[in-house]
Order: sequence, then structure tokens, then C-alpha cells
Amino acid sequence: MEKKEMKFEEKITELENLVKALENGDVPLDKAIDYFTKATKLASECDKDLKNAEKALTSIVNEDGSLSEFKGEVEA
Amino acid sequence: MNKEYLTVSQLTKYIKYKLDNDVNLREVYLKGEISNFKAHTRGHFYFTIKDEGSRINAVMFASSASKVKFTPEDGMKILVTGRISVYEATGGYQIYVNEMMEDGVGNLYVAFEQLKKKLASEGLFDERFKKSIPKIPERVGVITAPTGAAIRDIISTINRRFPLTEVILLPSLVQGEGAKEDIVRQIKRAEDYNLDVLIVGRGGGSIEDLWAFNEEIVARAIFDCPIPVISAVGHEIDFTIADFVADLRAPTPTGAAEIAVPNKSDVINYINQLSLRSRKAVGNILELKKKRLDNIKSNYILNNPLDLYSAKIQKLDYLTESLVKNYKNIIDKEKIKLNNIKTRPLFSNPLVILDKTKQKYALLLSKLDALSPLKTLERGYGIIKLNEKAVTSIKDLKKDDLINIELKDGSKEAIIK
Repeated sequence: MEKKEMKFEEKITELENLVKALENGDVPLDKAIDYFTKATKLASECDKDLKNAEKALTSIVNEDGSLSEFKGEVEA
Repeated sequence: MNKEYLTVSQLTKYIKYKLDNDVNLREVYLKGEISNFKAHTRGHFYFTIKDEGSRINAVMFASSASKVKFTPEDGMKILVTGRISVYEATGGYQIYVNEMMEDGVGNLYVAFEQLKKKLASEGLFDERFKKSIPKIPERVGVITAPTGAAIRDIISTINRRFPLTEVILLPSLVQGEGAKEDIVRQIKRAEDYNLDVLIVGRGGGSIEDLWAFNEEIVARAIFDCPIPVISAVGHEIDFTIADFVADLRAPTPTGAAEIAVPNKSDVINYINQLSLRSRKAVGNILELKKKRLDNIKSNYILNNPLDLYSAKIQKLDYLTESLVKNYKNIIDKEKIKLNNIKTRPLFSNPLVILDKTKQKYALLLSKLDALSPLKTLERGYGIIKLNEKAVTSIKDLKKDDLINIELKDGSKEAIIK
């Protein structure tokens, strides 16, 4: 089963945790390499997410509670 | 006499001294109408405050004047606070104004102060209730008018800073009839949209325009909201009750968006930093492991493995030696014991013991012999027996008893007469 993609904030938190674990130093070598590989992957994913994002998804809550795209006059 | 005449300056100084030292004149609340209003290019206001019967010159320096929330004009009714002093150059007394507001909205200020005091005493503004604003929100809610500058500013700021964040607008009336109820309703609805942070606010306006954000029900809704709330009402200088109760006050809607989301480039920098840190940390770990390996490799025992045994060998030697020694000791002791036993007379000369025993036996035999009745018979005595029993008294013998007489060499029967 495909795992649901992590949210950006979760990625950053995970990245922070990995770095902290590595900096703690008391990690078996194979784990350290594993953490490092994961951290590198997360960092490049986060970087890509940010560089790809152009415009915030903006929705308006309708009276019935549903969401629709908000098309206010917004300068880019 | 010259001495009795004061200079004008001396007199003016004296009057100024008198006024400055009058406690009642240090903080004066004054109402009246503006006339001769002049705004100096440096930001100071010069004007006259008058009523039907009198007038007083007024000056408001730029530091205070910049906080005035309306544009003063001649004929405007105003409320001011200030102190009375003398401007020595003209010899005129005047009011130095600290605060100025339009009369008529005065009631609103009183209501504002009262509500602020009440909610403060209930602890609604306490720091301990302030929720922290997440660093990187996934979803930002905005409660404001769907038209107008506020929402535009917020969205464009988020687009510019951190477009990964999703914006959910909960449209609301922000002024006039029904605004406070609408704001409260949307604050409650906001809970359903999985928001990380909620911006509640509107753009600038008069104090009446902003009033919905000074309403108690709005303040309580913000306080009760489980989502961290950033207030963003009007301009930098506008403070509302909502600002006090919110988890964070932003000076403007744009400011709120800036607080709500991080700057993209900052986050990219942060990620780069984390990358760098992870690389460095791995480097350190490798270095550490290598050092440990080197340490182990240079370990004395690894290089001199035989030393591991030397101590054991020594111990073995010692044990062997003591075993042999102890063994000998035991044997020696047993030998001595054996020798002792061997040297006993029984073993060395058993015939002596036999001779002694023989002699003893002979002695005993001769004693026994001496006591034997047979010996007495040999010396000539005899035994008289009646019915097989030895007779020891004459009284035991009657006439015609058949007796037996025993002598040393035989026996004969006889009858008593």
C-alpha cells in the first residue's frame, strides 16, 4: 500500500528529529547511515516542495460549510 | 528702590513655577471645540480649545499627535488630557495635550476600559492561556470580510512568503449590525476545518468601524477557541479587546500573515542548515567510531595476546606447586602415624606379651588349685555326703542314714548307728 505523503511540517519535524538523533552521537553505525540517508531525502523533498509551490491554495467556507475556491482579487 | 521691581522674565518664571507645582494642573481633563487648528510640518499640533465663554491655547507635540486616530479640524468637539504650563516667550499659559479624542465617542472609550478591566480581572488576558503559534502551519484560517484590503493583504503575503500553506477564508461581517454575532459564529465554525492557526481581523477604520472587535462575546469566543488566534484589527495604533485576548496581536492583517507563516527563504535556509548539521553529525559519528576502532587496535592485549595467558600460567604453576607440597605433607603425616603403630611392643615383640600372659595364667591356676576341695582330701580330710549333698553339721545326721564317705582315692558307703 502506498503510504500517504507526509505533510511539509511533518517532514520538517522528522528531519529535525533525525538531525538531533545524529547529533546525539550515540547511534550504531548502520542506524546513523540510515538516519542520514532519510534526512538527506527529506531535506531535498522539502526543498523541492518549497520551490515548486507558487500560490497558496485559497478556499472560502460557504454558508453550508462546504469549501470552494476563493477568487478574490489578489495580486500575485 | 531698584530692588522692588521684577523683570518680566522673573515674573513669568515665578508664575510658571506656581502653575507647574499645582497638582491639579498636572493632569487636566478638558472638553471643548477646536479652533485655529494648525498642524506643523514637524508633526506638532497648535490650536485653541474654546467654549461659549472662554478659550485656551493648546499644543500637542508630535510624539502624542501621531497617536491621534482622527484628523482634527476647526469646529470639532474634542476631549483632551494634558497639563497646564506657561510658554515663557509669550507669557501665555496653555495646555500641553497628551491625548485627544473626538467627543461623542467618549462613551465607547469608557465601555472599552470597563470591559478591558473586567476581562483582565477574569484572567482572559493572562499569559498562561496564550497558545503558541505553530512555526509552519499547514492551514491558516482567516475570519474577515471576503472583500476589502484585509483578505487581499493576507493572501498576497502568504503567497509571497510561504505558498505551501493553505488559506481557508471564513467570510464575516466586520462592522455594523450583526458583525459581532457573525464573527463569533465563524470562530466556532473554524474548529471544523483542521486549522493550525486562525487570523481574526479587518482593515483600518474609525473606532466605530472597529467596534465589533471590542465586544465581549467576540472576546470570549476568541478566548474559548482551541485554535491559536492572531488578532489583526486596523492599524498599528488601534488596540481592541480582541487584541488583548488573542494569543498574539498583529499590528495589521499583513502583519498577521507574516506572523502566521514563515518566510520561504528562511525555511530553505533552515533546511540547508539541517542538511549541513546531519552531514556534520554523521562525520562526527564516523570519526568517533574510527577513533574507537583505532583505540581497540592499539590495545596492548590485542597486540600481545599471550599476555592474556601469562597470569593464568603463573597461577597454574602456583597451584601445582602447592598441590605437590600438600600431598607430601599428608603422606609424611600418615607415615609418622604408621611408624608409631609399628613401634608398639605388640608388633616389635609379641612373645613377651604371651609369656606374661602365661605366667599370669599359672599363678591364677595355682591359686585356684589351692582352693580346690580335692587338695584338702589329699591332706587326709574326707567329705560326708547325704543324698549327694555334703554334710557340714552332725545335726543333719540321723540313725540309719545312708551316707557316703569320700576320701582322696575313692568313696565308701556307711550307715549311721
